[in-house]
Order: sequence, then structure tokens, then C-alpha cells
Amino acid sequence: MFGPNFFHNIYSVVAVILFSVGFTTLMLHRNMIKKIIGFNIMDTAVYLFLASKGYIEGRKAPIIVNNVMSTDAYINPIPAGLVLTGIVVSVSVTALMLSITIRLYERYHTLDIDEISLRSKKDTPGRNKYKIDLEGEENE
Amino acid sequence: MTFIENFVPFSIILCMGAGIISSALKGRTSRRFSIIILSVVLILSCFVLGYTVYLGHAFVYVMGKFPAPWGNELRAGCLEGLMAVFFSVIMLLSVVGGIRGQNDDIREDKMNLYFIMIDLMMASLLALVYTNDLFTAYVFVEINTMAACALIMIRDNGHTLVAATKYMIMSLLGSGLLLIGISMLYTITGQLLMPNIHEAVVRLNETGEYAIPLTVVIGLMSVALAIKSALYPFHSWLPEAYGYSTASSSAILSSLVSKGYIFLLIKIFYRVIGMDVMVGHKITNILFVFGIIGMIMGSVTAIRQTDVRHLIAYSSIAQIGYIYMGMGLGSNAGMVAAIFHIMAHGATKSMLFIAQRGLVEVSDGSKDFSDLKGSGFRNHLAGLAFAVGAFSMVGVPLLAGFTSKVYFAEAAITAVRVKMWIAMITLAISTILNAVYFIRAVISVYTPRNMEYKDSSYKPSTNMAFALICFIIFNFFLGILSYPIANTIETGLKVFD
Repeated sequence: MFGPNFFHNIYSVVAVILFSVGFTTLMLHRNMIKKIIGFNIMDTAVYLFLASKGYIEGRKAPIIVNNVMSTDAYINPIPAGLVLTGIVVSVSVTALMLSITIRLYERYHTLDIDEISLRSKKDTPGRNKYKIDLEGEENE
Repeated sequence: MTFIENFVPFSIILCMGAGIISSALKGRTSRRFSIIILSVVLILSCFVLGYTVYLGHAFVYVMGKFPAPWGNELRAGCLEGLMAVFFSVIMLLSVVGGIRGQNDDIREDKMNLYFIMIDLMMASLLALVYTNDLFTAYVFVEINTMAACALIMIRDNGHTLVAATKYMIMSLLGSGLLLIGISMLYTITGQLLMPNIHEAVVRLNETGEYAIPLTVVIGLMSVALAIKSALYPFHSWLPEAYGYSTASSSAILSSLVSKGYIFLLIKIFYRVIGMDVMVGHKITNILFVFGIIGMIMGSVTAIRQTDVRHLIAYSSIAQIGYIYMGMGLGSNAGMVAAIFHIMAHGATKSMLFIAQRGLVEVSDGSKDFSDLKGSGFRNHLAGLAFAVGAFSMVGVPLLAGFTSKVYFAEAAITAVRVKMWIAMITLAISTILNAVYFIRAVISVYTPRNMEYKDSSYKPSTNMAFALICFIIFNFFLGILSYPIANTIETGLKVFD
């Protein structure tokens, strides 16, 4: 069932499983907070994938100590850079999602997205009135 | 002349800086500032377009002068220049045209936040157009998504909040897939810059190494960007997002945000994976099928709508289907048609959204067709613009939509036999469906009834009038003088690798 590379690539396997768990949670779960958790699991899985791919057995982080200049002594720092960039992105997205969730909760008193969707349809009357000031032109 | 090359990074940084400065300005000042910045970006982009056309090939701007595998690069050819000009024109007109809408829909103290997002959106669109680095593209895709989410929710009511939430959820699914796609591509090629990845992919394709991961990567990235640009089965967020936000936001979302992602996908097609590898992996066939389904289903749903905003939104789904159908043909001609349709649809849809706002203003704020009856007589210019936009979407000659349909048909004829028949028949059916709902909409706008609304004191705002006239001219321009534009797109695609 498992090929010879299965255990060699165990981190990638775990990362892909975690990714699918997060992806499914984000897509299918009705609770907003769990959706956000799912999103974070999904992104973290990608960081695990990148970090494990960037690591080379027996080598160190690329900080020069004891004047060892040979590139064979160090790992590739770019995946770590990508992970850091990704973390910044996912933190800001999480903040945005959480703030939307707070607003939704204040308005509809529930975290269930289906329920929120239903209530929002009843919420406002079908007509959306604009205030139109026919006499005064705006300043712009 | 190489001085002009600096305009490429400068226009991106200018927009970002403008966003930061806007945060310290008062609402209306920040709008004026934003309009000035967008005009400057438009002028800079025109210079870039002129320079790249004069140059005949693309140039690469190396950020910080770090050499190739480590540095971050921007690249501009005439296609990128054309897209930058197009994006800045539509952004400028959408902002100017919707000024009265913004005043009504956005709270005074939050106005400057709206323009921060407009500036960030412009910066991210320009970066998506110009960037030569796949991971940078991912970061700007996220910035674009967040700015778009804020543009939806700035009109503070329950509908827009729910719409923004749905938009964010679908977009995050897309971003996740894109991120893991890029990471996998990085692990099998070891590169992040587009030309380097392309080299490595060509090598992998020859040796047959990592064949399955490559297919997975192609699938992941295509699906990711298809979700983000609302290709048919992933469109659930679109009607609400376009239907309830303020008119400028709807115009920007429909004609710029989704188009930015599609342009990135086209870049991935040509510059990262390579067109022949893409066609070899049959992903174009899948996009073709979903495009075809989208063309029909979008229009069929649009026929049932009684709300003008929702009608325009569902029509967008059909038009996105057209674009993916053109890309799915898998030929250069199909791609030229798709890119031309990006422009034609962008110019038309933003005009429809702004014109719709003008019509709703004179109909007591109702978006329902029964109340919109006769609004074309109450607001002449908006009625005219709505009619021009509708005719353009249906495909009446001399207008942008007609020309892009001609290009689609021409491209379909040269495609494989099966695809040719499917594409031609669907184009015909879809045109009829478009005609059914758009002509009905125009007729109801020009049906004289509800005369009690008739108020001769109504004066359309000069900003909206200006924007609508520009949009109408732009539409006729795309329809009549399409040859130089199509030519530029074709040369742009030639120098794309």
C-alpha cells in the first residue's frame, strides 16, 4: 500500500492530510469560529509542508558560526522566508475574519452562517431606500 | 528612455503610499487625493504602454538590483502595459461615477477608509499585472482579496456583511489552494521567478520527472484562481457581493477584481507552466467545459431576476464563462479573444453598474424593474448608458461586446472540431439568452409609466455624467477601433515568455 518514499515523505503526507482537514472545515462547517480555525489549520499545513521541504538532514540554519563558509553546512533559507510571509498574510486574514464575525454576532446573535444568511434575508425590507437630495448638489 | 522603466515600480509604490496618507486625511479630501493618484497612475501606465509598444519587447525591472534567482522582479511588456492602462481607467471612472452613491452609502467618518482600500486595490492590481515572481503574486492576491472584502462591507448593513463573509470564505478556499499549489511548484522546481520556473517545468516535462505533482499543481492553481474569479460552480458569493454593495464597489469588483485573477491565471498559463504543457495536461478542456456551462447557467439565472443589480451580477457569471471558454480553446487566438473580452466586459459592466445607480436614484431608490419603468426618461444619460451597456453585452455591432464575440467566433473556428461546434452553438444560445434579459431590461427602463416620479428638478450629478460619457466613448472605441488593441494583445502574448 505504501511506496518506499512514504516514510521519507511523512511530513508532506501529514501536511496534505491537515490541509484537507482545514479545507473541509473552512468549506463545510457552519460555525464561523470553526471556519476560522479550519482556515488556520489549512495555512499551517502549508507552512509545515514548506518548512519540512526546506530542511536538510544534518545541516544548520544559515547563520555563519566558527567561519564555516561552505554552503553544504547550511539549509536553504528561502522556504523559511516564505513561511514567515505566509504567516503575516494569514494573521491579517484571521484578524479580518474575526472582526467580521464580531460584527455578525452583534447583529444576528448567532455564529451559524446558515442561520445568519436566513436572518439577513428577513432583516431588511425588500426596498432599499436611498436618501436623495434633489435640490442640493453635493460639494464634490 | 530607460527612465520610463522606473514608472513600473513607482506606480505600485505610489498607490500604496497614497493608501497610507489617506488614513490621515478627512473623507472628501481623501477622495480628491485618491482621484489625483489614480490619474497620475493612469498617465504613468500610458507612458509604460507607449514605451513597451515602441520597444517591441518586454523589459524586466530588477527590484533592489539583486540578480536573478534571489531578487524580486517586475516585468512589463505591451500586454502588461495595456492591462495597467485599462485597470486604471476603469478604476478612475468607477470611483468618479459613483461619488453620489458613496456619499449616500458610506458613513462620513469612514469615507477615508474606503479610499485606503481603493488605493490598496489599485496597488495590488498593478502588482498582479507586473510581477514576475509567483510568491509575490500570492501576497498581492491576498491584499486584493482583503481590499475587495472591505469594499463590499463599507456600506454598513446586514446584507453586505453576509455578502462579505461569503466572499471571504470562498476566496480563502481559493487562496489556500493557490498557496499549496505554489509551494508544491516551488518544491519540484526550486524556483520562484516565473521564467526560471518555466525553464525547470520544461525540463521536468521532457524527462517525465514529477509528472503527477506537476499535474496536481496545474489543477490546484487553475481551480484556485477559478474560485476567486467566480467561474460557474464557484459563483455562490457573487450575486450578493455585487448586488448590495455601493455602486462604485460593484463596478470595481465586477470589472477589475475578478479580471486581475484571470490575468494572473493567463500569466501562469504562458509564463510559468507554458501553454503547450497546459494543453498537454488537458486543464484547458476542463476550463472550457466549465466556461460553457457558466455561459448558459449564468444567463438562465439572470432571466429570472427582477432586481436590476442581481440581473447585472448574474450576467457577470455568464461573461466570466465566456472568458474561460476562450482560454479553454487552448489556442493563441482564443487567448486574444479572452483578453479582449476581459477589457470589453470590464468597460461594459462597470458602466452598467454606474448607470443602474443613476436609474435607481430617480426611481425612489428601488432596484426592482417594476419601479424602474420609465426611469430612462427621468435620467436620460443613465438610461442611454444602460441601453448602450445592455446592447454591448448582447452583442450589437459597433459596441465592445460584439467585437469580442467576433473574436471568440474566429478563435473557435480554428479550434478542434468538437470544441468548435460546442463553442459556436453555445455562443449562439448565450447571445439569445443575453438578448432575452437585457432587451427586456432596456424595454422596461424605457416604458413610460409611473409618471408620478417625473421630477424635472432632478439633475444628474456632473461626476456621474462625466463618467458615463467616458464609458460610452470607451465602449464605442473598443467596438470600432478594436484592431490596434487586439494587435497589441497579440504582440504582448508573443513576447510573453
